[in-house]
Amino acid sequence: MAQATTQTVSISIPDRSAFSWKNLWIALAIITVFELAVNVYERTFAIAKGLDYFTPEYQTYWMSILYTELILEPTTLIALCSWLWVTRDRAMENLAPAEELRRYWNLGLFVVVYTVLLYWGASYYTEQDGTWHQTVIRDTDFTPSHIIEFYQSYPIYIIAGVGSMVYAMTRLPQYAKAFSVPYAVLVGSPLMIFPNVGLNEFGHTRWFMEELFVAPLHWGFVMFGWGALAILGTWLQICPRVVELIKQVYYGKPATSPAVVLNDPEKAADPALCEI
Amino acid sequence: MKKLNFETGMKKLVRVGAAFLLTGLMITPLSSLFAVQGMGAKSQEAFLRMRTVTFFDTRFSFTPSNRVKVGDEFTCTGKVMLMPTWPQEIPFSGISFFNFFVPGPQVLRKAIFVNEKYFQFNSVVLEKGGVYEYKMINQARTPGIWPVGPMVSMEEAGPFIGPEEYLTIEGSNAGFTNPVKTLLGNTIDLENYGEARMIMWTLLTSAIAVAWLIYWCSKPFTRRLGLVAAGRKEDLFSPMDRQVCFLFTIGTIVLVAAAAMITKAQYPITIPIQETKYYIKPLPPEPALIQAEVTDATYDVPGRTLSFHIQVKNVGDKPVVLKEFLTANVRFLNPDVPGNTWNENYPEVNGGPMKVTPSEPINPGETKTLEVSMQSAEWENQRLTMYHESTNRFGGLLFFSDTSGTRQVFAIADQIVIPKFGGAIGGGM
Repeated sequence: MAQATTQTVSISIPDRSAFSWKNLWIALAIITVFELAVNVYERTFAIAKGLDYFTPEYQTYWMSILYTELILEPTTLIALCSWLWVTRDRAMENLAPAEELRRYWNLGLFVVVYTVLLYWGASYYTEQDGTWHQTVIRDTDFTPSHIIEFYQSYPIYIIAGVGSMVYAMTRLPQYAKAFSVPYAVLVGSPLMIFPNVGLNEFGHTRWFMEELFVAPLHWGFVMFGWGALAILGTWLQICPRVVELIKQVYYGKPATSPAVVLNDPEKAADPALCEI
Repeated sequence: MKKLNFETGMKKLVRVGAAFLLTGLMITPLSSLFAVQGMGAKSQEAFLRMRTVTFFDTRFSFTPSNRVKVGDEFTCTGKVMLMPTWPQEIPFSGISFFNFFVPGPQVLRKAIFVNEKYFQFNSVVLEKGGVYEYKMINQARTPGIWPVGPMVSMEEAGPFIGPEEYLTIEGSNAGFTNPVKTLLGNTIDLENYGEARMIMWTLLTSAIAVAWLIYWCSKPFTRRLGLVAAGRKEDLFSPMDRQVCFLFTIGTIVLVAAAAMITKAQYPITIPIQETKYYIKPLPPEPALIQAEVTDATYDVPGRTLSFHIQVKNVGDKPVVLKEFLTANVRFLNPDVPGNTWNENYPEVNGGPMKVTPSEPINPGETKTLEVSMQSAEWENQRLTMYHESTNRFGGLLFFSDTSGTRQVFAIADQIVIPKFGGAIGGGM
């Protein structure tokens, strides 16, 4: 239980624009337009050009997309993580409370974007692939459905998840020197769906099984997908520090210094800090 | 740098997105104009297609025009043989379902007969080595150009598809209905039967779930963490919370029970979902004309030629010839047999000529070793080359015929193939 205190510190209330939803709405608008465009493309060319891998049209309309994805996605991931690393905060022990609070806000927006992208990949396009398999014959590696599901939507949410984690590690004292297990599961578990795709494709080309949703070969997708529930643990770690910072920034109450949080992040995750 | 005006940017985004979406949706109905390809069976391994289920005698009633109108009925008939030796990599359960493949619900399946036995909803149990005759009656539903054909799906093993044709469905499906007469004598339209009820229940149950989430998620999360930390767990739930929980619990139970009772009152006569499987005996064996055994097989890679030797004994009373080899929906005809020419209405792929040496008929009681050789680009086009697969074996059906037209189908199910790469290929010591 936190100790009551009458000590106050000077208050420097940040501008409301520091906690703007704008970037989130822009990101969600871009995602929505992009996914709608992808859907239109799929509905236009999946059956018309995507049923026979050995036709020139297939190479033009689908394999070209796959090759583009395979180039753009790793490039984007490397570029994003490199940029976040190069622009990292090198003096986190001196971080101002208002700025730390703003970064938590940004992290929250980043995670919301990640979850929306995770929904598109692991829910929408995965269910769509189930429908594809009920319509078209046995599974192969590079169906139009897989080119969008496995090789586009999954890497995109992985980029967002890993990016958000690198953001936290390079800008927030709580994550800079210690490893958050729930956050690692939140990002790493859905990430492991992608290697599971490899196992899935190997299985489908070796065991010639029926494309049954509940086949053991598919269990990994479900297990790793449920790992996203680690978002609850992630918020449990983050909320006490955020509340502590709010109390410091807006009410002038003392808070754990960033230098202490850097070296002992568990202190910042104490639920007692949530007492108001 | 000019600062982005958020509202202007959003408006532009929405406009561009809407224009893109509208364009796409306008193009989508035209997508059937592009359909000029098959169902991609070629991407499956050769042994999977050659050594499992072989379709033969396939006929579509819509040939040669390959055009029907929305609402027209058409048939697909033929036979399948489950190869007597099944590849070990592929599970065999025998529990199968005869179906008609088409990308999406573009046709309706009105009836299916297997060995003249009608079934519509149930799977059938098939045997290795068995031959089964099927008839599928379908109705055109959605305009477009669709690859269609017969298919057998087997539990654990998956789908096996037969020869395909491109069917052009003309007209409009506006006003298309699918009336069926129930056992009680009512006529219902399966195109929209129960739709309103399904939507109503989905919305109602979703609304309950959303209300439940809103009630709990609207409570201050972090403050409640503080209450937990302070050991004041009794403050987490108010009497109001308990009443809400009680209402939701009892309300949901009452809703489900009432709905079940109302539905039961509305539909007093129901039958459970049927789980019966039909055990269908294979067709009786054809009269034996020959006994045969394949002794060896090679695939000449640079020459694209499959050759094998087969020792054939004529056990009938008339001369016998080898007319045809059929594998993975590709047919090779023996041109030395009079009248044995390719018909454009055949739905299978024309593999080309099959050279049989010696070409003379096998007389009654005579035993001959035939060399069968098929040089064809289709081995590569259809990806039926076995030399780079994990099981270097091939299968297919040989069709022997005597002078009276009696036919015997002989299955090659599990013959190893030795590839010949030619002297100039590869390295070596």
